[in-house]
Amino acid sequence: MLPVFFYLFSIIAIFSAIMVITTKNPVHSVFFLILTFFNSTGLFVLMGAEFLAMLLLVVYVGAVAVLFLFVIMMLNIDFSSLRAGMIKNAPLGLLIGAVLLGEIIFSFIGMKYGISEIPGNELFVKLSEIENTRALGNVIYTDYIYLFQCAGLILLVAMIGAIVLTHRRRENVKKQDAVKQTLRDKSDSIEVSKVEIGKGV
Amino acid sequence: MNSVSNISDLSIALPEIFLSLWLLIFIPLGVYSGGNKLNRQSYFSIFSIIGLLGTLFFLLMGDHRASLGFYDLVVTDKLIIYLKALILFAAIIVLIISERYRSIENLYIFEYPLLILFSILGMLVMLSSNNFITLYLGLELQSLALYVLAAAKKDSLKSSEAGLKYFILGALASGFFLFGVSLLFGITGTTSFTILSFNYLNPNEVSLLLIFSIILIISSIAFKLSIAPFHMWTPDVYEGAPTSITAYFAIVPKIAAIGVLMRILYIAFIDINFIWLQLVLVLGLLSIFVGAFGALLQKNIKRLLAYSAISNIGYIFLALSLGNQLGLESSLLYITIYAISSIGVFTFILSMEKDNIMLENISSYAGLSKSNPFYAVCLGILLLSMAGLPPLAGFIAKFYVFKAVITSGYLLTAIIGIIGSVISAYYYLNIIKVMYLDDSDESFIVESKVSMKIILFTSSLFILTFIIFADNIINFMTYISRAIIL
Repeated sequence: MLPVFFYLFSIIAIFSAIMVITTKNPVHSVFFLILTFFNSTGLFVLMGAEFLAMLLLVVYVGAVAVLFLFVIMMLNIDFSSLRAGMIKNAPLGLLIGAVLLGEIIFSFIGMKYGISEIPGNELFVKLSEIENTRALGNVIYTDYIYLFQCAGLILLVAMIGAIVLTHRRRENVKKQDAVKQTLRDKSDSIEVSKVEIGKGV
Repeated sequence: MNSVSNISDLSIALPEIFLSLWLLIFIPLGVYSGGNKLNRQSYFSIFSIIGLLGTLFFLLMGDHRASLGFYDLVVTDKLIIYLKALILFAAIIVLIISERYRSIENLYIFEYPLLILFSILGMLVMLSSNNFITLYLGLELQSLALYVLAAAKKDSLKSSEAGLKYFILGALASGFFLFGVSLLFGITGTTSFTILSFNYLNPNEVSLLLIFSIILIISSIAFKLSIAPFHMWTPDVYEGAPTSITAYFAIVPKIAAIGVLMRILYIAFIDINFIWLQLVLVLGLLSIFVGAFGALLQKNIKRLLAYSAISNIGYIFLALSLGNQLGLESSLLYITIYAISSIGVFTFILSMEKDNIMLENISSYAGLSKSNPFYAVCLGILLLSMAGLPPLAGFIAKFYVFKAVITSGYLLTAIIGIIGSVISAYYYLNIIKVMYLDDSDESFIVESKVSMKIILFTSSLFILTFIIFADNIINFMTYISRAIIL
């Protein structure tokens, strides 16, 4: 049963990954990217890494891909001019691709397999014992509570920093202030003055 | 597995916990009580100074014995407590002296003290780290706050440039650090300093990969310390950042990074010290010379002090490269004296203001000895000390570094270092010459706060009279540096 799903997910993932770079319309590209992420999620679930799968779904589909979509729709980039140098840059792209492929092949050749080959393997939780979301939860709030809190503070600083650098207090902005509107009365908004004829106020 | 941290764990991190809670109170307080209004700024400064004093209180009242906590992620001992106290003390002083500058430059944002407090928290985490992961998180917490502070003057192009430069290069250095740590983890299977020090690193089997990872880790810390050849960002960032932030950059993060470097070199990598001894030595000598020659032609006092910081940290590297107790002691003495004299010099720079414009060019200090003799005398003492003139504190600090170098048998290194020191004396003396011998067309009277005058006076008095109690301080440094040498 398992191999069927594995082939299903991988074939769709590879197909949609190719479609990401070949399709003409950038919006379609992003949708194919989302499809790729979904299928990778399926592959992770098959491997028993359900936490990673959900993380991929939430972070990449929920945030990154939507951000891409926003960027594409907001910025109105002229994509036909970007494609113009396709033939010219193809050799360079192929070269980089070949180098990356070579690195993957060499690292597979040089790799030693098996859990005993990994340094510090006694740290690993036994696979069947406990599902990995629970395993992560167990260590994050006990062993690594100090690090977890520090990471939270870093995110807080990042948020404050972004506000400090981008927030500008603009002068002369006319905002509606409901309290002020309802509290005003006749005495401080209307001035009745006697105007003498032929003199003006 | 499900056991929670016990009470003694919490007491190790009590200063950090207190400071982070204080920060969490600070944020809503700043937002809801007019954080950007001019008349509220001094309240926020006082509020943050009280927070730092509270942290100092919990730090000094806590247990001073060496202990590990939080599953060995956090460590504390006398050396760490001393460096943390120095950091908190320096940060309080910087907050006091930056008050006036902020009102001149319209830096009315409550995030200014808030981010300083955040970076202090990062430094405390860094200093008490016993694991590369803790160290990394502390480093990032500190750096992120500092990037924003460098760009705090939003209407100034130079400040934004400084922030961006610092951010990009800092992110690169963080990448180096993580790359080095991941290689180290791949080789040894641990990121804990104490575990690494228990013969996880066998001196007889040193692989090329291990050397590579150690070089990456040391160079990323060297970047944070602006050691040559990773110093390129320093003059631009020091010049572009608001002056009070420059003062902060030049003093406080240096203490934290030096403390971390001591812990990495003298605890984690002590068994394989033959890898890093020469590396640190060369970096130290290089920065002494880059700092000495780079400062010669500077017109702007902030750029000059950036190069001065580079060469001063170079001496500390020189001392650390000895790998023994003497080196540790003399580098501790040096960083302490460097911090105190830098506080004095930056208090002087932050007081120099004419018609609401800060004076940053050295030539504008001409004739200062006649118009403002108090400031001229204080800066004169501080600069003579930095130039290494006996019997001032700077001389004693340099003397101890070179004494340690010579005692450990590196006579040639000491001679080269002394030559660098003599070259750097030129530009310190040049400022004194401008103040005392040059005439200026327009004289001005510096009107500064009493608190700043007191700080300037106290730091120059300390530098001047250091020789009287030098023995006690050096004994104290020996005492605390024993915490790290096993």
